Amino acid sequence: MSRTSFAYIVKRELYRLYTTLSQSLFPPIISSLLFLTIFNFVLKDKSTIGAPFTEFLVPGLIMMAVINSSFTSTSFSLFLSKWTKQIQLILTTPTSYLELVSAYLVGATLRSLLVSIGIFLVTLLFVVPSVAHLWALLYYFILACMLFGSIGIILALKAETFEHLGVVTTFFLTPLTMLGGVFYSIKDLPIWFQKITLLNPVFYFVDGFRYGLLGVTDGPLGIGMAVTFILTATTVAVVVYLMKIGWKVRY
Amino acid sequence: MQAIEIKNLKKDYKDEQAVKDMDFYIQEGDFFGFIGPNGAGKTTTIQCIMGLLKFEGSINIFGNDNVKDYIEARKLIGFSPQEENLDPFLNVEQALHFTAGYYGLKREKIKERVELMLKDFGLEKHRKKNTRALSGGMKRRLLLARSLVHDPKILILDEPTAAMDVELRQDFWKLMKRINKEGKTIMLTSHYIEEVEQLCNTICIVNEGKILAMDKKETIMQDLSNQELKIKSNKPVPKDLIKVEACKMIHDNTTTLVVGKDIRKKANDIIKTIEKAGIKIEEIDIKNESLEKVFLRITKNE
Repeated sequence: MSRTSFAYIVKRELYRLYTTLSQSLFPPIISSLLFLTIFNFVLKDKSTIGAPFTEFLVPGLIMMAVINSSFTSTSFSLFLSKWTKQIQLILTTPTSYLELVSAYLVGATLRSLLVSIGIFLVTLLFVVPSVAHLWALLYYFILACMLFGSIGIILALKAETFEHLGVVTTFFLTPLTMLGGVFYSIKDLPIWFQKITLLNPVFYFVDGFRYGLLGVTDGPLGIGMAVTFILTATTVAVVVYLMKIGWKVRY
Repeated sequence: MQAIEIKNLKKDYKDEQAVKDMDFYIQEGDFFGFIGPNGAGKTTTIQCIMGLLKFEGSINIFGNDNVKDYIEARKLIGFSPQEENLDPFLNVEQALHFTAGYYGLKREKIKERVELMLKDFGLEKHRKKNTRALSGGMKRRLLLARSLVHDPKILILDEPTAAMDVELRQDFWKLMKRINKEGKTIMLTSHYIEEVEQLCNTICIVNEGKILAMDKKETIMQDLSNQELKIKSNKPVPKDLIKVEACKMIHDNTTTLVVGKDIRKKANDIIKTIEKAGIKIEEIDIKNESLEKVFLRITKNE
């Protein structure tokens, strides 16, 4: 592998992030701040699965932002590259498909990391979160970046207009995240709704990440780890394969 | 050594065959003109060489298969595409800097090459300008600079002078000649046949996905171009006086035009015949048909 090519694609991703801070980094931090402010006033005394509500909320907010940032990072970057035909430059350079995929995913991970740190700092205004299980925090963080970054790549390859990306966010990603247990414990839901929630992969990411921060879970931890791992590994493999055959970019 | 070697290249799109079994090679150090009408398959062929399209057949770049050994193959080529594809997030300097990075150059080397390109292409004044803010001609210059930033052995230019004004185009010609002299192999497609005639050593004429003619420029011109003999006389030359095989005669009062192959060899006989008829010749001029005329005749099958 030609290492500098990878490094420069990552560097370019970070530079793009830097030039679009007001659209990429600040919005998730500000919306998290708003959520925390509102819920802190309204539900301050409520306890959910053994934790004060504000503390319960923090991991969900971070995971929601990680999911959105990873998806947006790869999907917009790659789609814009297609749109401006910039991707043709990359495809004519000595860059392997593995380098390309990993550079985009590393870019998504770094962006998500910055967003997470930002939200974490904001939450310090309300609570001082403790870290119960660092390994779980890292496990779910990295898997979420890989999975949703990969989904972003697939969609960017498939999309023909900006609208296509918007449709996926509005009709799939946002509902799955909102219904993934960010704002409530699924134990507060009717049984049938609890069962449906267990089919939502976002729930396992939120729940696992919450386990990492608070040490409490809402669903089965082992199943969550397996589901998220298998889903991520499969999706990353699909992306690597699609890039290898040049799906929708090399005709 | 062969810089580019193409064997049995075929490329099908859904409803048409863009390239039908092309076979050719480009010698190291050559300045290769690749010309044909719109839709002839030029850009398709170039995109196959660049690995932007899947194809049947094989393409070797200095002996490296451009599918199997694509990493090695791509290091050796610089490419300036027909359609502008500059990075909208970057300025001129960064566009060069990042491209050099994608090609795997080391940090110090990148700095050195970027400065050289900015200077060579007159882009120093514009280095901090965003790529979107550049004029059409400047974008072309930047695309050229970008294709050379990693110091490739082969340069592939797809319609590089479109959108360039006359002055810029002449600067570009000078620069290309210099780069070729320095040892780089250049493959050029252009709509300006005159440009190809001026710059290239080897010429390949394609149409409908096939090669119609390919040879050294001189040979092409000798074999394919007609010559034109223009005779001015004191009185009109009778229409049936001169009989030359496979030639076109045009009589216009005291001017007689003879157009055809190998006119140079036949000129003596023609002149003698006219003089024998008691007509005085006042002026004689022989010239070769331009490549543009040859091109039009071949591609239109006239």
